[in-house]
Parts: sequence; structure tokens; C-alpha cells
Amino acid sequence: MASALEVKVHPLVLFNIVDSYERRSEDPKRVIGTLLGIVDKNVVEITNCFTVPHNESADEVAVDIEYAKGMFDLYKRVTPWETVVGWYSTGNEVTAHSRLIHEYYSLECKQPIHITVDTSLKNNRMNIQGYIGSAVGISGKAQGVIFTPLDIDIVAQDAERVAFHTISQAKSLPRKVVSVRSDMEQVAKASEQIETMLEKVEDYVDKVTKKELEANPKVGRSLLELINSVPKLSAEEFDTIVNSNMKDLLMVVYLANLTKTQLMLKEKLIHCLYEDQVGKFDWRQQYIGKVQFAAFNQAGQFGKKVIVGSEENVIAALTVKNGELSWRQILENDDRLDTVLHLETAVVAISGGGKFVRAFTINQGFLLWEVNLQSEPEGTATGVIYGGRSEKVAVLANNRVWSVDTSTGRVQWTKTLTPLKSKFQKLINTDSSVTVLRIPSSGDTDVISYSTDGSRVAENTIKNPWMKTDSLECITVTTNVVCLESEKSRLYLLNAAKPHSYKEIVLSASTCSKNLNALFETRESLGSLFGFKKSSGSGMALIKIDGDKTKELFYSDNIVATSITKLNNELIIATATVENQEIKIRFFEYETGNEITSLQMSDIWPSYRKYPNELRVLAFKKKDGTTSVRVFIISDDLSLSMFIKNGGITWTREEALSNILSVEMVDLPVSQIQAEMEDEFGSSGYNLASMFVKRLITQLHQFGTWILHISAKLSKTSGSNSGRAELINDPDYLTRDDFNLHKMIVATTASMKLFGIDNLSGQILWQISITNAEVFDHSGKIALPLYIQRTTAHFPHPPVATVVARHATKAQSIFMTFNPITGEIQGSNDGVLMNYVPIQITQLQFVQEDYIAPLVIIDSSKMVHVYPTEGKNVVKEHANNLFTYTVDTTTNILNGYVIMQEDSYLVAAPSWRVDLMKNEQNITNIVAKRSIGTNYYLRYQEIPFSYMFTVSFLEHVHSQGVVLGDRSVMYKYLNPNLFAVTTSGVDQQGKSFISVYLIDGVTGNVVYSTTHKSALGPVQIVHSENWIAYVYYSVKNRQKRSEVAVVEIFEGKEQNNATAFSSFSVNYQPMFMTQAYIFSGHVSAMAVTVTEKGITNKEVIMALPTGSILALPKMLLDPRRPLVPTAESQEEGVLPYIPELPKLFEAMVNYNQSVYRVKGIHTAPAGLESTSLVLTYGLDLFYTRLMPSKMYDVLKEDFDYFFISAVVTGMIVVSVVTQKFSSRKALSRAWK
Amino acid sequence: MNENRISYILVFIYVFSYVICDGELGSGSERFKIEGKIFVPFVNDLEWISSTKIIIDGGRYLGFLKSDGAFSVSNLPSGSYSIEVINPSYVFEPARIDITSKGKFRARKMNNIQLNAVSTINYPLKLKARSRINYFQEREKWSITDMIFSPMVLMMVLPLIMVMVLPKLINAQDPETQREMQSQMNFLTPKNNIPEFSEFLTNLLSGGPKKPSQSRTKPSKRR
Repeated sequence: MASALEVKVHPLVLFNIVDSYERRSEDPKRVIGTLLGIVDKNVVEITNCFTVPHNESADEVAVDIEYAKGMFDLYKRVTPWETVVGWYSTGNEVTAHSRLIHEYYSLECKQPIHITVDTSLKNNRMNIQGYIGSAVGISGKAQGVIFTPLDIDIVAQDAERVAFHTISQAKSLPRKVVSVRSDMEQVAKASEQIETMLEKVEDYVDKVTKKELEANPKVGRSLLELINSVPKLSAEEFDTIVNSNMKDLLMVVYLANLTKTQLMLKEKLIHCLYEDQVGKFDWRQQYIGKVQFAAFNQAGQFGKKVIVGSEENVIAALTVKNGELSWRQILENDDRLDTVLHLETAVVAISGGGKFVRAFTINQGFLLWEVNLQSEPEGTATGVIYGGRSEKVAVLANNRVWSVDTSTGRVQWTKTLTPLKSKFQKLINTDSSVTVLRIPSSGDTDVISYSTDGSRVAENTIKNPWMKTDSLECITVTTNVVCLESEKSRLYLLNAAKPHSYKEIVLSASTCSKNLNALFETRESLGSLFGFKKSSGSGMALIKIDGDKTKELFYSDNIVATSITKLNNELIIATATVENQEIKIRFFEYETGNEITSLQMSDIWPSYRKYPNELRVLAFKKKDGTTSVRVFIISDDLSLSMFIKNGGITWTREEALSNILSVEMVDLPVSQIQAEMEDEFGSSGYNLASMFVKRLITQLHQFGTWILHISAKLSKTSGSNSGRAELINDPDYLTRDDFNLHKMIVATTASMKLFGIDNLSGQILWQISITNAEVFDHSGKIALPLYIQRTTAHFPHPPVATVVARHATKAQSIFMTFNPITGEIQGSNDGVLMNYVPIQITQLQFVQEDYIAPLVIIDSSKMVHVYPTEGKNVVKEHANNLFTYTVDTTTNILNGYVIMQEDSYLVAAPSWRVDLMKNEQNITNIVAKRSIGTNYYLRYQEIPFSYMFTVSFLEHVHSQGVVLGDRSVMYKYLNPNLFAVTTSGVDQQGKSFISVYLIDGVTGNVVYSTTHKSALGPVQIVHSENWIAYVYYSVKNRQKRSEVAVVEIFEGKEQNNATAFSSFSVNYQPMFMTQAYIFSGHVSAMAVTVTEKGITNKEVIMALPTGSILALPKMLLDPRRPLVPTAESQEEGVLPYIPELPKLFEAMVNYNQSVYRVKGIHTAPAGLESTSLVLTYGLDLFYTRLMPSKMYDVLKEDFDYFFISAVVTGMIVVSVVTQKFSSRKALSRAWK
Repeated sequence: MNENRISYILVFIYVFSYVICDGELGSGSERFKIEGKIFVPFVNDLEWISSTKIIIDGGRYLGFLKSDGAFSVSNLPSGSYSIEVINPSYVFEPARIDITSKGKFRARKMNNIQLNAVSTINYPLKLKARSRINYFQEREKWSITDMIFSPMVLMMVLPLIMVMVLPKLINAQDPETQREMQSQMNFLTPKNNIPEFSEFLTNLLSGGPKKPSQSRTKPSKRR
């Protein structure tokens, strides 16, 4: 009867028993307790238990029955269905005392079960034995109990099983710590298990059917049960169910993650501006670019304007008053602005070779109309306004002529001309009809006229008088065409209105002797005047066309530009002359050529402005009868100036800044006082006494300078605001501030002009023009490298910067060395000429004796040069340990070199070579890690870039590893020699791809490479510390979106090289972690913040074509962001993965100060660890400070000093007053 | 059960949208023109127009606004284009436009995560500014109520009130309360009964306890 009892024990009970045994007090040898569970007929399920304290000695046993009852009552409240079913004890035997205890439990339940658990682990087994006690003795008087053994099953519920499995994993781990696996992993593991179990079953069934095994009916029955329990579903149905459930789950997870991340970002990560901080430490400058088309416009409601169109395809209106942008429209990047035509109230822009013709209103720059003339144009387009009163625009492009109505923008007629390969083509407005004039490369000049309704008025073919057309230069002068055949230096004239034949212009002998060789076109189409000048420098003859005759007005050696304007219906000529840093605008009567001396004006013209290129003049009579003149000057250095009579040059725009090529931010020198202070510690050869004396002297001196300083300051405040020149001369302004936030931005531009810009105000403090020089150009990628060779840290040595340029005509290079703070050029103003063309320039990280870090230059014959030459010794010292590489984009071959000393020469010996297969792909980017003085640049023949490898790593990396949630450390792979190369190409299936390679520059090892299929460039990439992040455009499945991929490299859990990294001793495979994110929008430039010590978190700065600059915390671009957050990842603070990167408006650091066509972003550390200085450049400049981890090292600017001091003083006052009161009270009490 | 149905519907939508999207989007030689209009409902002046531009595919094609906010972008081959309205002050919803080689237009909301999901919007596009962009963080304003209800101040003020005001409420002149307080004091300071160690030492050294004097001085001190 008793053996029919089934006993099931849950694992929790056993754990409980073992646990209570482990925690028992010293004294009792064993532990006993009550078992709780459910009795269902003959099945006893033991689900829980608790320990009961007891005391055993040789002859008696005491059980705390009160405790047991109390405990049971408590358990009853939690799980009312559980009853007492028996008791347990540890040990492997039933002792004499067991009877007594059993008897007690017999009172508690009907048939108590006794379980012994052998916790002493005899034979390494924990024996569990169940007993049922039955009383023996004579009826009515029991004498003893017989314990009959019982079989015990250990059963577990699903949850218990999972927990049990998890816990049992810890068995094999050294630290006995396991984490709960995520649901997904659990599911995966379970399905794996099911699979193996199914296999087992299959195996068994197979064996049975093959009669290898005897069938077991029990197994058969449970198999049948199993099959019946599975619902009948087709595979697809099953799939959809699982998938939809899965999708729901993923959606929930995704939404949860999204919310979490969003909250976290808002709260912690993003440093966001307050509204009152606008403009406090940021500034923006908007530019237009190299101006090609300009005209005054007086019709506007909002004052006079200059309408300009630039080579950068920008149309803008500048106010005459101060040169600010009234409006600006940026046209397509790739479609060149061909012509700008000026109507009364609108400006017409023809761009992209006639692809677009757009009219904008002059007042506000709204679009009036837009026509699309042809979709795939060739060459450039020209246009003209014709038709007298009813203004129409004619456009000529690709041997076709269109006429567009200016009020509606409708195309009125189109004519297709006979195809001609034109050398020169022009539309000329000839009295209410338009004349097309085409001079082909071979054959005769073709002249056709159309009236406003599109009917052909005249057609002529005129014989060309010149011998060769390849050196032909033509301009239009109202209805005339003037051509210059430079070989014979003869001018020919043709009137398009009455074309008969070309006429040769005969010049006077004196003019002929001046070697004039270029034509100067006045673009006002007012009078028939043109200039004949020297191709460079000054000297111009003014020639007037009168009917079919020409008249030479005069010649002057100083004239550089000329223009023509109307004053009281009289035409006047304006000329610009530059002499001894002075510009003079002189005016002449058009009819007579006599000078109007009353109008002459002059002002200072610094030599860096070079020569004025073009003039536009506006002259009018004021109400009081005086004549007012405004001259708009476009000069060779791309600057735009407004010259007003009696006012001088009122404003100047430096359009060269719209094309910055390299930027450095240079620390300012310390102030005089501080420098002396440092000087005090400088030398060590003094004894105590002399040191003391020196200290006294310096302090006296300091006091003296301080007094002077104060008095100077006082006298200065009485004077008015200081100008730019004063700022640069003021010794206090250009000194380092407390946090080193004040720096000098040194920029090189494509127009061979260098600028020194104050980073606080954006003011230009100095500028230098390099003459006879050109930028390095390699298949459209241009560069003008800038190196800071000596920083300001080496007082009293001044800082030194060097720009390297190519000679304009010879195969030589120009090294221009200057002081980056003051802009003073060292040596001659033309720089130092070197007889080689560098293919690679690198700045060494070692310094000479005078603290100059020399440049190492490799020329095309692989010879090594050093600049300055004194630096050769430093290079020789480190020869054989200096490595560099070149990348040739024309062959896709990367070459590594080692600098070696051969006799007394230095040569670059090849050390490695990597071929990136030119026939498959093109190299698009090469990015090395940043060293403190950035030194990657273009060379002449090969491509951008170079880097000199040394052992020291200059970008400060604060932490060598990442501490994970389980307290272990992942060490970063900090290879300073690593550089990234990105390529793009098209694979065999015709699909485009991009690839990324990480290459060690010393050994040539390709450490990592990856390919993204169906992806397009342009790729933007940043490379810092141990990670790269890049943006590409995914076009998978014909759907497009931008994606950001991030690769982080780790050495693993052990550090291989704690002191210094060496590329040669790498004998392990680093770990690569990658992840990609969706980015909504495009990225035009990308950079990463740098800070002084690298402690602060990094931020990835992205410039978007929408004009915003987005600063994303690097944390968002962490490849370890988990799909499902685990306890460890949460502890570490890793954000959960969400596919799309957030684009918060709060993270847009330039708020509404949109900047367009951003080409680069330069970041520099400030003295404050929390702060990184950022300059974005492109068409516009924007400068700001970023605090990626917020401002943690200084008090916030909104810190309430008043409040805190008020509280403190209040406290002091209160304490004094109360003291008084209390003492008085104590006194009065004492008298009582 | 209900959940299942929803997920079925979801799956259905997904499949359906996929089928739609698989339509031909090849590149023909024909060029098309996207048209639309921009509204900024909450301003009256037209200042915003000159700073607003339409950029397609990150700036490959541009559209400029007329004075009524209308725009058109021409010269587009068939394909799928993302359309963004850029303005420094207002937020606009981006859109995607698919143009088939037959010249059929379909505008839909931009969805970068599920590229195939379609929720169509009207074509020609009518894009309305959603709101003014807020780039800035709100500065915390100092207010007297914040200050008063801050836990620190409450912690300081309440005990002060207790100390200053409560003794006033109890009539200290009443002999009964005085006695009560006295007894309370005595109860609260058991020190009287336990001699301090230092006193014990002094007693020991000066020879003999001086209990009576001690008990007399103590209460006077307290007063």
C-alpha cells in the first residue's frame, strides 16, 4: 500500500535543504525542516520547505515547534494551497531521534514523508532517500516506527528548469558568475535542444522499424501523444505565425529601445545651447565665391545692390552700404553658372550649359520662373537680353537658340543651327533682333540674325582673316566683335549688326612697342570701348570703336582695369591704377578722353590684394548737385571692395575664404609677464643665492610691467574702439587666455592667399598673398599644405609655420615660412624656391635644436629633402626608423618607404607595396589618424597624403581599454600607423560597391578590409583612436538611404604592448567589431572632436547638405550596442541598438546659422579638457565650441554668483545677530 | 487570438507593399518634373521663402520657391527620389517620390527603416511646415516657489518653526507645565544618574563623592 505512493520533489526544495545545511550553526550535526507540498491521492508533490531549529543530544531532541507552526502560517499566506507533507533531515541515515520527530509530524499531517539528503557527499553523490513511516506495536499502543524506503522523482517546472540550467552553467566557470541569457538566446538554445531530441527520437524510430530494437509500447504511446499535441499546420502557416509573433516582439523591443535612447540623449548626452548663448562663442561668415558676374542695381526697394554671380554657382545680392548679403541662392553644384543677365527687377541665371534658365527677383531673391531648355547639354551656354522694350532672353548652347519671354518664362521659339565646332560663340543684341555669331575652329564665321518672333532676318558667312584659330581670343564690344590673334598681335573688328568683313585695327607704334597681349572687355555694353593690355601686371591701352573705325584714347603703364558708366546721360570711363600700395580711380570723358579730375579718388591698397581685376561704377548726381560715385572692385585675390567717393574703401569681402584648403588653429603666445615667470625656472645653473636675487628682480620687474600695463589700459579706454591694426599690435589681445580658448586660425585658400583669423570674433587679423605660385592639383583634388613647424610653446623663439606651393610655371616648389600669429614672412616675400617638385611632404615629430620640427620631402626621383636644411641631422639620427608611404590614385598602388642614409644623402627605399587593383576600383579617400599637427596633404603627382611614422602617438588617448560590464577590460588596438583607404567601383554584375581597407603604414599589412555591395560614394570617413566611422549611400533593392558604419578594433582581453606600439611586433589578430546604422539624410563632411587629454567623450560632427551641422555622441556609433540590452550592457552604459541614428534638432550645433557646401571640418583642442574648437569651412565658415560631455571642468556660465554670495553673507549676519541675542538672553537669565 | 489577427494583418500589409514596390523603376531617357507647394501656416510675411529650398537626393537636384511657395524640379529621369525641404527655422516632413518610366508619379512618406513600406500622400506635393524648430534648451528659471518647496529649505525651515514657535504656544509661566517639562527633562537626560567618567576620576582623586553639590549645580546650568 505504502509503495504505491509517488513522491515528486522540486529542485527548489533540494536547493533549500543544501542551503540551510550550509548556513547551519556550528552545533547541530544535521538540519531538519518541514516539507510543504500538495497531496493528490497517491501523489505527493513537494514544492517547498523550511528549516526548523532543533537541538539534539544523546538522549533527547528538542524541536522548536512554535517556530515551525509560525513559519507554516506565514507560508500559508503566500501559498495557501501548500500543506505540510513531511519533514526532511540531512545525513544518510534514519536515527533514533527520527522517530520522535516523525511522531510530531504525524500530528501535523496524515502520512508524513521523511526525506534524507546526504549533504556529506559520500562517494561524491548527494543521496536523496524518501521514507514513509508506519507505526509498529500492538494495536492502540504504538511502540515504534518503521521507515520504509520510497522512490523519489525529481520534477521541475519549466521556469525552474531554465533557472536550474542557468545555475548549473556556473559550475564550470572560474568566477561562478553567470548572467541570465536573453530571450532570443534562450529560444535559440531551446530549439537546438529540440532538434537533438528529435534526432534521437528519429533514430530510435528508425531502429524500431528496422527491427534492430524491440518496440516499447510506453515509448510508442508517448510518441503518439507528442504528435497529437502538435496542431496541424502547413509549414508556411507555421512560418507566418512565428514570424508575426517575432515581428511583434521586435517591434516592442525596438520601441522600448527607441524611447530609452531618446530619453538618455535628451537628458545626458547632448550638450545643447541655451537661447541666450547664441553668438556668444560661435560665428558664421557667408561667402559667394570667385565673382564672375557683377552689376549695380538701383531699382530695389531696399537700397542699392550689387548683383553678383560666382564660379561657385552662387547668385547673390550685396547691399552697397555694407556689403552684407541681401539674399543668396546656391545653384546646383555640378552645373556651371554660364551667364548672369540683369533685367530691371529680375536677374536671369543660365547654368549647366542651358540646362536651367532661372529668373530671381532682385528684391528678395524669390524664383520668378524657371525653364529647363535641354537635359543633357554640352559645353557652355551664352545668353543675351534683346528685343528692345519687350525684353526677351536669348540663349545659345549646343548649336541651338532659344528665346524666352522674361515675364512668364515661356520658351517662345527654338532654332536648331547647323552644327559647328565653335571656337567662339556669342549672342549679340542688335536692335530688336538677336544675332548669333559663331567662329568655328575651322571654316568661316557664321552670323545669323533672328527677330523677336523667331523669323530669320539675315544670314552671312564671313571669311576669317587669321592664320590659326588655336590662339584666338575674342571679346564683344556692344555689337562689335574684336578678335586678337596673339601670334601676329593683330586685332580684327567685325560689326555684327552690319557684317561685311573683318577690319584690321591699326595701333600706334608707341602702343605696339608695349608688348600688349590680352583683351579687356568692359561688360556694361554701354559704350564701344575695350582695353588692350598686358596679360599680367599693369599697363593698358583704351581703344574706342566708332562705327567701323577705331580710336586709341590713351595708354598708361599703371592701368589695371577699366569700366564705363553713365552720368547724366553722358558716358564716362573709369580706370583703376595701382602704384605704391595706393589705388587710384580716375575718370575720363568718353567722347573726348579728357580727365574729369574732380571725380578722382584714391585709398590705400595693400600689396596682398594684388591688382583689381574688374570694376563696376555707379555714378549719380545727388539732390544738392554734387556727384556721388561708387566703385565696386573685384580684385585678383578674389576680394570684393566698395570704394565710395569721399569715403574711401568702405567694405571688403574676402571671397578667397570660400575655398579654404587647410586650416590650423595655433595657440597664442603667453603674455610677457607669464613668459618671464617661466623664464625664471628655465635655467638650472644657479645657486640658491643667485636664484633668490633673480626671483626678487623678476618680481620687481613684473610689478613694474603690471603698473605700465594698467596705465596703458586706462589711457586706452579713453580712446575710441580699437581697429584691426591696433588689435594685432596690442600685446595683450594676442596672448593666451586662461583656458587657451583664444587661438589664431591659420587658413590657406585655393587663391594662394593665407589668412590669420581671430577665433573669437572671426576677424581677419593678417593676410598674405603668395605670388607666382599654384596649388598642388591631382585629378581635381587640390591642396595647399600648411605645417606648424614650431608652436608658441618655445619662448623666446617665435612660432613658425610653413606653406608649400608649386611654382606657377616652372617645375619647382615654393616654401613660404611665416609667423602664424603676426603674419610676418620670414625671408623674402616670394618664399624660398626649391628645385624639385615634392610628391610627398611629411612633418617630423622630432625637433631640431631650435625646436623646429623639420619637413621631410620626397621628390619624384625618390630623393629625400629636408626643410629647413638644418633638420637633416635630426633625420639622419632617426634614419632607418622613419617610414612613410605614398598612394598613387592613377595606378592604385600604395608604396611604403623607409628613409635611409646612403653616404651623405638621404633616400627613400621601398619597403612594401600594395596593389588595390585599378581595373576594379578607384581610391576615394585616404585617412590617417590625426597627429597634433595634422600632416596629411596632397603631393604633386601621387595623391594626397602622407604621414611620418614614429613611435609616439600624438592624439591623446586617455584610456587604453574599455571596461566591460563584467569588470573585464577590452584593450584598444591603438596602432598609430594605421590608415584607412576607401575605394569605389562597379563589380561584374554591374552593381556599384565601396570598400574600406585599414592598412599599417609601416609594414603594409592590410589589417582589415570590407566591401559594401550596392553602395555608392561619396564616402565620408573619420579615423580616430581605435575606430573608423564612414558614411555611404546604400542603393540595395533600388531603395536608397545613407548608412553609417563603424568599425572598432580591439586587441582583446589582454594587452600586448603596454608601453609603446610597434607595427613589427604584432603577432596577433586584432578583434573587429562592426555595426551599421541608418542615417536619414546625406553627409557632406565628417570629423571628430579632439580634446587636450582625450578624457572627454568624442562627438562625431557631420555637416549635412541641408545646412545643419550635427554633433552626434560617439556613444551612438558604438558597434557593441546590443539588440536586446543585457544586465551587463546596461551596467556599462551601452545604449541598446536602434537602426536609425537620431537627428535631434538640439544636436545641431549651428542652430539656424545654416552653412552650405561644407568641404571640411577642423577640430582643435582647447586648454579646457571639456572643450573642443570646431571650424567648418566650405562656401561658408562656421566656428563654435563643442563640449561633448557638457562643461564639467568649469562652473556653468549661468552659475548664480549673486545667490551664493547672498546666502553666505546672510548666514554670517544671522549668526552674528543671533549670537548677540543669545548672549543678552543668557545675561538676563543669569540675573533672574 | 486578437493579437494573432493583428499580426496577420501586419504581415499582409508588408507583403502587399512589397508587391507594389517591386514595380519597374528603371531609368528611361525621358525626363520628368516634380511639382509641389510649400506652406508655412503660422507666419504672414514671406521672409522664409528666400531661405527655403527643395533638395532632392541630398542636393543632386534643387528646387527654388516662387513667391507663392510653389516649386518644380525638372530634368529628373525615372526613379525614386527623396525630397527634403530645407529651412533653418521650420520643420518639414520629408517625402519620397517614385516616378515610373511611364511617367506615373507616386508620393509617399519617407521611411528609412522599412524602405518598402508605403503610405502614400497626395501628388502634387503639398508640404506644410510642421512646427518651428527649437534648437535650444530651456534655461531653468529661478522662482520663489521652487526655492521654498525645495527639500533643503523645507528641512531647514520646519525645525526652525518648531524651535521658535512651539515654545511660545505652551504657556511657560504655568507652574504645572513647568513641572511637567522639568520632569520630562529629567527623564530625557539620564545623565544625572550615571556619573561621567571624568567626574568619577575627579571624585576619586579629590577623595570622596560630592554628590549633593553636583546635583544642585546641574539643573541650574540647564536653565
